[in-house]
Amino acid sequence: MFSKIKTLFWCLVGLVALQNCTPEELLTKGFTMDDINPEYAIPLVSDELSLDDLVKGDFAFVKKHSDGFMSLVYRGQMFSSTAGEAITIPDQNFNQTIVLNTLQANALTNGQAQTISFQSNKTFSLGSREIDSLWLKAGALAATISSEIKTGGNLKLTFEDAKNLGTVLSLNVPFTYGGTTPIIANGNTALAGYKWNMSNGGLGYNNVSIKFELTLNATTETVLAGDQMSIDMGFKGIKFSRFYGYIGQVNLLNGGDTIDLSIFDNGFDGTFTIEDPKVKIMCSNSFGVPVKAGFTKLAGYSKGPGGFEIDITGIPDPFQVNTPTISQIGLMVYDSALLDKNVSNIKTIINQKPKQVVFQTYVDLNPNGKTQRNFITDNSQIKFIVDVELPLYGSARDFVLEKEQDLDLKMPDQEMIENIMLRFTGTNGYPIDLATQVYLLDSFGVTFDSIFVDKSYKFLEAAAIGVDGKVTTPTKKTTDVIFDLQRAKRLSRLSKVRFRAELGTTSAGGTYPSVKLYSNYVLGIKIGIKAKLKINTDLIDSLGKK
Amino acid sequence: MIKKLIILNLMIVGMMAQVNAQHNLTMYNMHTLPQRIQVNPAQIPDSHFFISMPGFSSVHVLYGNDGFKLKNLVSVDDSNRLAIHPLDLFNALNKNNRISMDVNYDIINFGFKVRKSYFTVSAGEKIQSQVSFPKDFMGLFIIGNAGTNLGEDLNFNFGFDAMAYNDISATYSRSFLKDKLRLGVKGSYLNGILNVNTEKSDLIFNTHPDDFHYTVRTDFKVNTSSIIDTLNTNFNADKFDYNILKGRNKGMALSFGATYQIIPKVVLSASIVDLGYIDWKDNVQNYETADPNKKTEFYGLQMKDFFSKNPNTDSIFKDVIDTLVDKLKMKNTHYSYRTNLPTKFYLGGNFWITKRHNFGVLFYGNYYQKKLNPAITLSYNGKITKLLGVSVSYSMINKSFVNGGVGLTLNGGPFQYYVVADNILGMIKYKDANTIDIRTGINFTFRRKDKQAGLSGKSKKLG
Repeated sequence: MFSKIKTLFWCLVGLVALQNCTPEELLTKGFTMDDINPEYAIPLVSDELSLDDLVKGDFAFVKKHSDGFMSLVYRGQMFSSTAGEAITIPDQNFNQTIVLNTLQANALTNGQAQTISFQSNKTFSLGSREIDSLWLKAGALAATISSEIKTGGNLKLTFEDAKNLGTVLSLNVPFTYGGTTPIIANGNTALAGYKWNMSNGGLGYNNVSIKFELTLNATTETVLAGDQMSIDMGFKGIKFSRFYGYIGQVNLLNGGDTIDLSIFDNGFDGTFTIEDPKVKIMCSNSFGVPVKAGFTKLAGYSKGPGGFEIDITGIPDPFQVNTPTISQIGLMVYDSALLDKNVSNIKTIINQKPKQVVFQTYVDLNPNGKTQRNFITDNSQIKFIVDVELPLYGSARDFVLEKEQDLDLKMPDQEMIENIMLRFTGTNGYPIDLATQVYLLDSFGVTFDSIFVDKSYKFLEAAAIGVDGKVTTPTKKTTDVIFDLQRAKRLSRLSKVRFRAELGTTSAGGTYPSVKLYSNYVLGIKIGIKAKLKINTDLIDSLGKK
Repeated sequence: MIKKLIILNLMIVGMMAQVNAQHNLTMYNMHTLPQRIQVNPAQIPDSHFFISMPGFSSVHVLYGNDGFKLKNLVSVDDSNRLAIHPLDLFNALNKNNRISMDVNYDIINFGFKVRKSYFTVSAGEKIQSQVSFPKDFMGLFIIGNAGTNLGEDLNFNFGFDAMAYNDISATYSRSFLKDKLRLGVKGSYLNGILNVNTEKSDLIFNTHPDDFHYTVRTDFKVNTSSIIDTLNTNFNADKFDYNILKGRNKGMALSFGATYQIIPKVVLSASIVDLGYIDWKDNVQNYETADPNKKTEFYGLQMKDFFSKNPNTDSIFKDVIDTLVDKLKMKNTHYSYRTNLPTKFYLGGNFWITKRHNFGVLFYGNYYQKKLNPAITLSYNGKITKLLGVSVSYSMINKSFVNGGVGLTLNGGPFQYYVVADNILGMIKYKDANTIDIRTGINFTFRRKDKQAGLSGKSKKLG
């Protein structure tokens, strides 16, 4: 009994103990959070800008010389149409009538088949053009007959001067008498691949020699003398791969091009000197035809206020254009001319920073008439390439470049920002001082802030140069720009940035000597951002409401 | 029915996050509880024969966290609002923090005494999982990658380990030296079901103090194995193939234990438990960093991309991730591998004040990821009545010094219900808790001894 009471006692003790062990209650209204200020650093940009990057464009490139010296080359070009486009051969049509004589009519009526053969010469109608021979790559020969002769048979047309790998060009037009006249029949054949000698054995041109061979079947119908057959023949869609003869006087080209000198596109103030700029004109030609070519205009040009157009002097007139020999048919031959400071005013013009070079050119074929036989292919063409070459040996003084760029940089929530720091790390491998400013613009183009305090903040000093004129030591500089809370808030307006760069070659005692730029020079730019945030209850509340 | 149970069991295995830090600090000294043999094969219960109720033998759930307590993260202020303390949480974290969870489930367990020997046989399933997360990762959100972290190597070495296996064990112990010394051994046959093994997970991230460029290098090696080919087949419960249970993930384990009555009232004990391994061969995937020495750097966008892409924080983050994924190649192989069981050791001493009551001190340790995780326990253990056995313990676990444990055995005839927890306070004072565990089950015990034999001390015979 006692043990049961004791057991009961211990059970009660246990129950009381457990009753007291109820978990803590957690009844809360909302929450708070201690302020935290995490700081984040992000590398935004890292780039090494060589001259290649600075001048990249469809018609601009950097030319590297064997010693690494660099030239900027801006290219313009003008192409003539091809011979296949410029020299066309119109469709040609010929007619022929065959009339039965009495002998032939009687023989047919008597049940005897008849064959009528004869040769006929026709002439291509091409105006002043003269074809000695033609290599055909397209076209068709078509023939239609209309016969009153009451019997069937076959008409064979043979062009013995046109051959394709030894096979003579011919066309058969079979026909059948069905009880009524006229009998109509036609036939056609392709011309591609045939080489056609139209010189009539070297005695002429445009000659088409045709052999007719008409076979008439024996018939029980009555055939009368005077019954006839009309033949219409046509050459349509003729395209040549080679043309030998004379193509006439042709004004092949009359046009021009504009060369954008992008290096001056964004240039404003200051002076910029290139020691030995050049214009190089290259002509390539595959017409086996006497050519007269030249420039009606070649000038430096800038439009707008202060604009100018100054002719570049020293251009050969006419411009010598080489022509291929008969054994070089289809091949390009080249010629060129160089305009530099010794033969031209090009240096004076370039140092006035023209934004463009414009040129107009012309090409006449057979300018003096029929002085020699011509040979062309369908791809024969004349091309002019005009290179404005700026060897990067020169000086700059307070030379200002400006460029505007869209930038939709999405910033963190304003309430979250305590401050922002932009860190610019630059490495200058060029012997050129770089002062810069970056303006921050809103969507209306209004400048609301700028990155640097000075208009021309000396961002990077010029790299040091050795006795050989080459850079020995790049310069490096780190610039931190702090955006406090108020400035950081303004960044939400950011829509565009306008860069302003002021360039000057190394100053030696106040002078701005000419320097050379080499291919291994680079401008290293790194931009990092460090943002200190403030995260607290209010921020989380406001983000929650959004 | 059996099929459904097996499938359910496998699904639970698949879903459970695991742990490896079963302590059993209170149970170790519960001389009325047969399950104590699991932590020292030489310790025997007070009954000559026991059998656990099939299906309700023993269920043990453990949650452990060596990193922070809930109170480090939140509190309730005077206005009854939840106050979140991110910086306190960050300061409370270790360099690496582990959250572990174990579930052990005994299907059958029985034992009997034959003269000086005691035999047991048991079968069950064990699920162990552990997630480790680095302080540096939390620091990325609370401190940022700048500030004091600028230029520092931050290691985002997350880890995840999970292991589920079947355990079939037999224990034998025998007394010597007139019952003063008892030695025991347990042998276990293990059959692995699922494993995720994070050998290495270093992801070192550095922000350069000068230009803020990022440097990342990784050294990963993660192995997985499962008896179900989850990558190449769709699991269909209706078409479950029993043959997958004959998996090739075999292993074995040994446990050793001893008790020694050094003087009449003092018994010393020691054990090493789960000294073993599993070889994982089924559906193995090894994911490993192709070149651990390779560094990947992100300096930012090129100028033209910066202006053309109109970057924002999301796009820059995406660029960083794309760069890293592109450059930090992983390789995938299928080599079998071995995992060791989380071996534990116990060293204890008990002072018997009577033949039914003792005080104990227990040192515990396990070794995980090259780190010793110790615990120490002081306990009172007694048989209050024939019906009621009680243990009360105080433990220092996971750098937590307030772990009050309780163990109860309630007997009615052969029927025995038990419940043991190493940190009963953790369930109540959950904000202060690092460790919470509970084990419960039902046994049938026969021919229980009223008093502990061979010990001096006064004891009144119970009614």
